[in-house]
Amino acid sequence: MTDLESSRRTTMPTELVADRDMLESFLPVLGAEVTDDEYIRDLDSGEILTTEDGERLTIDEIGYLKHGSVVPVEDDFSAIVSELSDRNIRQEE
Amino acid sequence: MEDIYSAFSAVADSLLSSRKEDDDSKYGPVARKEHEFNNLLEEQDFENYFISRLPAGRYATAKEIDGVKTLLIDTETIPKSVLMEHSGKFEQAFEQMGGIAIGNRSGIAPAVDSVDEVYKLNEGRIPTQLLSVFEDSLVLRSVERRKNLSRGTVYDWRGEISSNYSSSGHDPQVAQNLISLCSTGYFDEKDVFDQMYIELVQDGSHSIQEYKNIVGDYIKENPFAVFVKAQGMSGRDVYHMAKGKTEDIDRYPASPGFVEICGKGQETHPIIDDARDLLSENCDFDMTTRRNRTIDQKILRIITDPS
Repeated sequence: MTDLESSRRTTMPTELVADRDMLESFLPVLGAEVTDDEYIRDLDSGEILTTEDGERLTIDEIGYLKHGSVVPVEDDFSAIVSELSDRNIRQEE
Repeated sequence: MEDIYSAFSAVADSLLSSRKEDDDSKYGPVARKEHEFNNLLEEQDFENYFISRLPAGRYATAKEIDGVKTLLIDTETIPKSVLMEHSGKFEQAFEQMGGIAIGNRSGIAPAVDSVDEVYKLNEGRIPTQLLSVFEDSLVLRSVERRKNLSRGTVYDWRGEISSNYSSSGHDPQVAQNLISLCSTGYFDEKDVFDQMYIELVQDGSHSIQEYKNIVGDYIKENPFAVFVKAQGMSGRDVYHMAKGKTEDIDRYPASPGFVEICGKGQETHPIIDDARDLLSENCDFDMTTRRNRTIDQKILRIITDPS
């Protein structure tokens, strides 16, 4: 890592966190919204956003929203690590 | 019954720790108007953004949480038009961070990439079916070290890891053992399992597959460590568990030559002291104690093989 990259890293945000009950007011800044039945919908396409496996999750079932449009991840420690890790070990099990 | 008691205790600890976490944080500038909010966003560098309810009338507050400069933003209070003016800033943070942690899942994402060194050291040495638990365990340890996690949260997350492991037909207790062994550092470079690898494979005649089987037995049977729980365990219980392990450990291949009693959190320390007293009265082992004050950990080593 260069000095410039190193100094940039120290000033860049390291994490974005949202309380579950703030998603309704926050998600519009990312182009999404919470529907009446508590799923997340893309504001442009009108489609309900799903996990990588195509599963619909309500906001109570979500533990992480991954970048790449907005991709819900199940509210489970192993599911979040698996989704964020690039070690690809779980597919080999 | 002990499990139920532990679960209730963990929930109570979680509630108490949440209050403590709030009290330990330091407040900085507060924005109650649009221009103050703009100034906070534009003029200060924050490492974390936390979208959360704030006391009435506050748009945003700078706060230090777990040593990290954080901007807390109340998107319920900020007018939508003001919020949307800054959507680019949030989209940029969303992209840079790779996502948003919801609620108490904060800390997991930054930890995932931080465990590479220990993961890579052990990647080829641990039974394949345990690699996902091993990765989870290292991430959990990293989050615990960076954040002031409540015992209730740790209890819940450990349960999720072991539950996932058992969902594919495995024994959840094996996952619990591996989480505890990782947490104590036994898989770190130059620690127990690295030394064992050097003795058996690097300097010895064991194949890597034979070594993996041995490590698998160590994880499954947990022969050299007693992990003390603050509730439901007495000093006498710990003494009996440790004494039992001292009688068996030297039968294991590449035995570390000791049994350790490990306690995390101040509440476990008197239990360890009681066990030590009983061991001194009834056995003839050399014993040493070490502490890791940053995580309130105390470890009593009972030396079974002085060589």
